[in-house]
Amino acid sequence: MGESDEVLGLKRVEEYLTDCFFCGTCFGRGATHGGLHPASYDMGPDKRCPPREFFKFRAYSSMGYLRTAWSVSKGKVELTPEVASYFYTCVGCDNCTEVCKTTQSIEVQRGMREEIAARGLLPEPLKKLDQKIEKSHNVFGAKEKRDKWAEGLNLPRSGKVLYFAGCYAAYTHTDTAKATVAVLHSAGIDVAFLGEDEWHCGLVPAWDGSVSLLKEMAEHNVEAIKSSGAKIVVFSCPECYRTVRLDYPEIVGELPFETAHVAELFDKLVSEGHLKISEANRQKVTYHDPCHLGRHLRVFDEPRKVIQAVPETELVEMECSREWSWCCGLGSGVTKAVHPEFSKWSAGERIKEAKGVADILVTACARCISNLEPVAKKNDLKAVDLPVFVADAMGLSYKDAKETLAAPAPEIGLESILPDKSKDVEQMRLKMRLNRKNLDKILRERGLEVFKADPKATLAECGLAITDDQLGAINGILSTIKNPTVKHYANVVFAVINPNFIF
Amino acid sequence: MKGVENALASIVGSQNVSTAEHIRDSYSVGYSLPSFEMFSQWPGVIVIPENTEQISEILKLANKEKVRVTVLGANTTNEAGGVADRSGIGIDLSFVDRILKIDEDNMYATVQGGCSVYKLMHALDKVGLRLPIFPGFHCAVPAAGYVSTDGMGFGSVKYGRIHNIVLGLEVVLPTGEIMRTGTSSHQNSSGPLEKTHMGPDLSSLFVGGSGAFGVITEVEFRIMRKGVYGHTNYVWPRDKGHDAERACFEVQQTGVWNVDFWNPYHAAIAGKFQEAIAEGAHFIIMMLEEAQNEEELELRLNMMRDICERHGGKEVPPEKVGPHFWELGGYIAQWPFMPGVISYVPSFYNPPLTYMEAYEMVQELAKKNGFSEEDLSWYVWGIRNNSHLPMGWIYSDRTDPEHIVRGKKLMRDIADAVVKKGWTPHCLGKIWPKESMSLMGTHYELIKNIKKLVDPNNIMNPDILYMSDEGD
Repeated sequence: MGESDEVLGLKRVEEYLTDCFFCGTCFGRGATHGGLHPASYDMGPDKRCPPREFFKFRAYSSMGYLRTAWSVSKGKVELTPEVASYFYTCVGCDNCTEVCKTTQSIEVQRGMREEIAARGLLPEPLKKLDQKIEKSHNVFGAKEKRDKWAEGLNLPRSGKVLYFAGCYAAYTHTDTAKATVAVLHSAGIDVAFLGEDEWHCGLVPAWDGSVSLLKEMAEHNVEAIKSSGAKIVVFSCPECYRTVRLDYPEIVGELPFETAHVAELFDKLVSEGHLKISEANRQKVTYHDPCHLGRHLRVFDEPRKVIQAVPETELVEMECSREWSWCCGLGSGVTKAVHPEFSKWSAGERIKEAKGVADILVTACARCISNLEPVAKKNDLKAVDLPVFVADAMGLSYKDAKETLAAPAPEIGLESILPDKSKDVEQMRLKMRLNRKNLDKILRERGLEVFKADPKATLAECGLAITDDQLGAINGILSTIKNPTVKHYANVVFAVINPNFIF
Repeated sequence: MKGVENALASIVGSQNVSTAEHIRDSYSVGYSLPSFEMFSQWPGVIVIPENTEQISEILKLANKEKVRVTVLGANTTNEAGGVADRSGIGIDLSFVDRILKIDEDNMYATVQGGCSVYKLMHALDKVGLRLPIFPGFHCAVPAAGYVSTDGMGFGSVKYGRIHNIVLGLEVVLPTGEIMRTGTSSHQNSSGPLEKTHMGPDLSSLFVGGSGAFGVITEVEFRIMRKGVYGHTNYVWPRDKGHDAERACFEVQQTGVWNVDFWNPYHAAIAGKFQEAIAEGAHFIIMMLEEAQNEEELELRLNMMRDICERHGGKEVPPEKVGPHFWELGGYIAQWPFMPGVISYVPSFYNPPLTYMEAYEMVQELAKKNGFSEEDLSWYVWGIRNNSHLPMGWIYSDRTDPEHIVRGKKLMRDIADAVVKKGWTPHCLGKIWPKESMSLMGTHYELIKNIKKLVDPNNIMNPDILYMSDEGD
């Protein structure tokens, strides 16, 4: 599909606008997940949707956003600046998808925001943010050089393993970047970096609806990474990681490199004995799952295993943890820009919860840290990014550039670096979700006939292989559904491939 | 409305009051309301109180200004029960939702009206307890909504409807007075035990009252200990519906915990029984049982199997069904084949051996309105006292105006036919014709008189009792 034919905005997500049938699961407060089985089931925590809890009205929930998007598309609700601003109260945390597999809440939000941007209704703070990014290629509009954090480290610009620091680690939370480099070095991995050629990943335009800006960032970064010769790109920022892993392929096609978050990499290095953490931590630690690393990319266990690799660490869970994690309030930076009070409140709620169970809050996202830290300080709670937590536990002098890379690194092979995601249930779940999205896309673009004509080839194109029996079952179920749609096809295929799979 | 809005803001704070279009729009929808877009309308103003006293003040204000009030729970009735008035106040109870007490010694739980049933169940679950009955998939229904629609659900075959588990209520009357009913009304009572009040149980005025008599702000529920649970499932071909009906009836008589009766189009949505359907199965009975231990459970499941086999049913072993739908956790929200666009057949109670009569009646009406049998996803929940609650969905296409016209007509036709047969609407709602109330004769007359007594300005959900055009 050529650029001029690109369907964006509400038109792009039109099919999803009527998915919601108002069961109330998403806007219901308190545990609403499961609960039918009187034997124990995880029914979710009492708090799930930050905007619903803060703004209170039902419109501030997945159902509300979907309904309003539909009403805007039908002209029942006018898309005023106030309504445009309202859409940015959704933090995109995806908690609603944990309770609802029927709607495509995130897709609709993204489509709605594309519509807002296309109609010139982007709230003023977002216009300014986009301008900063366009001009300076970072979210702060900083004029300083992006590679300043790496001064003295003499990191190469090319290599098999590339570290993508992201705006926060590069400018405001440089300890994260330095600690990441130091920890990896001690495990035998010397990373390259893009220096000034590393641009903002595109997270902000991806979530505010400025599609062309996202495209510009993505195309630049992918070219720069390709030029570096990297086989694997390592991220300490889950937001960069998510954008590159999930959004970039839709713009540039299949990525010519592997990706991993430091939490995944650290976990692998610890389990293979390359990373040895010696100093004990006798404080209670709780882990905050960043939305994009946890729910979006299904990385839950790895950071916890890394924390527990620190001797004598007691890891305690908050009620809102793992798939039920509570958003730090940043909302990819767009929510904070438009609704700062709400963003601050959400961070406060998180800190309150952490303070109730632990002495230290560890997360794996410098951006989450940036939003949580000010509130944490006021509440006498330490908030630390995972690379810093690990570097401290290893006794590394990562703040001092000269010492950071002083000791020679033991050499390890690339196979010890590339994470094996094939057996991880959560990663399989993510893969299924992505495959499903591919199938949706193919069926939407080429029509259902493509599946009817050659189902195996269609599925193979999405990375799926099926047996004749499975195909028979798929056709059998589809024959019982009146006027099946793209959604039916995709759902039936995935349910048959794994009938117990909840995607 | 501006004056009312300002006055409301002085009661609950301006952040808890809204007349914004998109806010009001989100309260114009609910489970049954997307049914061909019937009855959908925006409330005049939405207010979110946070305690009983604020609700009392809101009602005093509404009385003074003679503004209509509708309490909005989760809007999960199938019959358009919670439709806010265009010019009125919609009260969202979501933030009056605390769990006040779980008393394990006296086996009751007290919650605020806005507390979702699932929130309570979660809390009970943690201490090995549960509600005797609970809604299947109306996940967000608040206690007040469950009570005011006289809801039913899983466990209703054994334990009855909601009125069987309500011990007492706190209610704000339309005039703003706060009162208590049932066993907690006795001022010296040590708790809401089986019976401590004297005279008639006034809770019944509000159970099933659909918010026409006051706002339920606290509910005291009977609770129980959890047991062990299991299920067995049987199927019959299309021409053996009456055998399935008889089997279902006999299963109910055993005091089974829950029984469902499905057609294959409902099974298709759930992605279950496909192999059996391919082999000719049409009607499906799913029996869920509870017991004190595994031995008792197996005995009871065997009793169900004997009944079904005696009536020609064929068992579909649990391993072929996959996880039972209730084991999936999210129920409807996770059903893989959910088309997303469905419309509800209004729910009703009918005698036990009229499953097939109801099924054929709805099929006939569907056909008359241009729908096919495959369009109707049908399931029936058994309930105590030999009654049933048939429910069903019609696949609807909201993008097709002609489809919407036919769909609306079908819903009306079903509602009319149910009332003509003398079957009982599940709860009050705008889908039902006026005759559904007037056919109740003296019962309806007394209800109207009571309504006039407790709600002299007829401000609370008056349309639900068909009293809005009486000049009261």
